[in-house]
Amino acid sequence: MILHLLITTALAAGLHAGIPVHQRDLGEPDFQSAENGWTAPLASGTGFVRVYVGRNDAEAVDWFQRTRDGFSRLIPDYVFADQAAGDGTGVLLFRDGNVAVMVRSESNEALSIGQSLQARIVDGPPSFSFASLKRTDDGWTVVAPGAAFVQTRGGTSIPCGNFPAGVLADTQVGPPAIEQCMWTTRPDEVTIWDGFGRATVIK
Amino acid sequence: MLHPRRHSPLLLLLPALLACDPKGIKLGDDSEAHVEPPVPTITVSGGALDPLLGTECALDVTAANGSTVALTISDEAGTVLRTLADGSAMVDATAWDGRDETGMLQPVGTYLVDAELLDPDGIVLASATADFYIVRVGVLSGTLGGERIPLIWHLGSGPGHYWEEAATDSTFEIAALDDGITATALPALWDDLDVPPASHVGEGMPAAYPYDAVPSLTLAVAGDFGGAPVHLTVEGWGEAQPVAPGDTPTFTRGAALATGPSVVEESVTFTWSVGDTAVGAQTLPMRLYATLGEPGFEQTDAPYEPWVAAIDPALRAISGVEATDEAVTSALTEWIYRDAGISYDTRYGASYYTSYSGRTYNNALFDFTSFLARRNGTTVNCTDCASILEAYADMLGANLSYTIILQNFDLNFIKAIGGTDFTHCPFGASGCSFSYHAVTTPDDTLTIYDATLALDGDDDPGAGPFTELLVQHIEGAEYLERLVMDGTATYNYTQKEMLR
Repeated sequence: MILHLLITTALAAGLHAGIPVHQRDLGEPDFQSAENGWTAPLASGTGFVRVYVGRNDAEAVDWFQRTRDGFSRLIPDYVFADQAAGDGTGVLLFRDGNVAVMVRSESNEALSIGQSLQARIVDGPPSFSFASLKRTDDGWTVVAPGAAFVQTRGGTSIPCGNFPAGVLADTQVGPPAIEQCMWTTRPDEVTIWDGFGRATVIK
Repeated sequence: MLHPRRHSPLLLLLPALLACDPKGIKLGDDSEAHVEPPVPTITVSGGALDPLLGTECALDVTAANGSTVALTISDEAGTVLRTLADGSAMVDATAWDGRDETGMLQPVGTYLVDAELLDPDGIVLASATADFYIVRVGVLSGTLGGERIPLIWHLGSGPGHYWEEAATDSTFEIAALDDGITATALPALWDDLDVPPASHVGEGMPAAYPYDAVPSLTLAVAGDFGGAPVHLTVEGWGEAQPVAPGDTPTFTRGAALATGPSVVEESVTFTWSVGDTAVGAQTLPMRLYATLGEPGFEQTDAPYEPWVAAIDPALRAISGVEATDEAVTSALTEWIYRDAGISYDTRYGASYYTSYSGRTYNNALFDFTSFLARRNGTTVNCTDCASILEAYADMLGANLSYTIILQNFDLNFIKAIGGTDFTHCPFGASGCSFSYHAVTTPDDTLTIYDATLALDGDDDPGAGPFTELLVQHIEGAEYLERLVMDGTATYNYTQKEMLR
């Protein structure tokens, strides 16, 4: 965490790498899609967060607006970070550069949770090229060193790791299991997530 | 041991007598009444036994005009293995447990049942023989066929990993018929609705069909029949079929699965027989989901197929409803509105399980996996309710899309999901409008279903008293009239949701 804060301080003006997906006060991350980001319940059980890491600020602005539009009640602007909405108690939606976050808190702690998450934002250039889909003699494998999760769609996979026998129509696993998996026909889409919640999509 | 017996002169004469004129042989003076001595007769039934499915096989003996019966079991070489009746008493029935005099179970094969009718002196008056088969029968697997709909367990190895039970996957498997001592029982049903088994071996899997489909069941016959003419009957699934090890007979259910959407839970009995002798029976529990038909999603691959965790409770909830899209969707609307244990977010109207992944309200992505676990809690908004209803309806074979009513309109009186009272200000005194509202439609907004709220169904939806009107197949124009007090409201973004 100290290292992260140092990096944050040193590279404050650049793009954010994201927020580490594994946090002590959050539950297990649940990776939705490259366009939607990841979610995690508050460990206290009193709410949840959504986090999105865009490749640039514009993508985060778009996510911020889409998420705001999803409220049936108009939520007011809020003064926080680069852009924010909500009331700071039950809900806080904010954007900091290319990172956007929504906090829902049933215990009215949205602002303090948001501040805590903002403080954990790690700076660094986008790194969306660490994974690839590799052709082998027997089929296709995903090469994703350092990936937090890998999602695939389509293709024909063979059982591997803790996967049961059968058709793996869609998979989401962490390494090293994913690198032991093989597809006899190429997956239609592979989404690889790094530890900061950034998604890379290979089609 | 039996004593060697002398045969009756009458018995020795019997073949000659039978070969004679059927009118009879003159044995005395025509002028005198003559009573011929009764003819001793004996018959014995054959039998068959699978010693791991049954303990013994009854042998019926019919004997007349003699004193006692002797009955033995011999192998094909003629060696007597077991004496079931020693000739000391009359016998009309007995049974063989497949074991010799030492108690050793005899191997699969054909055996001879030898029955003799004796007189008081131990003389054989009549005899009869029959075959007895020891067999080992069973099935190693079975696969339901017909119009089977693939099922999905949505937590294959965690969220986002969908494990698809293809329509050609086996319904049950066992690794071996027996362990040499006991027969392997047919598998119990896999009861976990979220997580699939690691393997089909030792598991019985549910399957889904359109309610009016006629399922078939193909079995992999195994065992050692020793030449016995074995038949297999699947009770309620057609006629008995002659089978041999390695065969894969297909049985077809005698009737359509159901008369409407429901969960059909039944035990199917496999009965093995040799001739008229039932060798044994095995019972397979089955759970068959009867849906309206193929899922209503546009996509046809995972996860756009019925999730077991979704259709199991949904079908149980709406069981008995008419088999139409309208009836099913209406029943689902009421089930979600009244019984899903969720309530409207009267603070913000925020979505807890759905995100729009394109610009504005396009490409709604419903996190059904998280919703089933209520991972983000039990508070929802209209987007969530539309997503929930669409997901359940499409999985059961109806066909809904979501549509967005825009924008910023004041409300008539509604009763939100989880609420108890009608109000036109669901967010409190300063919150009497929706910035948007998501509902579902099967027909491009001609009709609307909405599990988020109930309308005031009387002539004045803008004032009390209130008549609860669930939004079940209400015309699109009427829906807007009842929902909107003031402002412009139009349907937009009508499209299918995405699912995870």
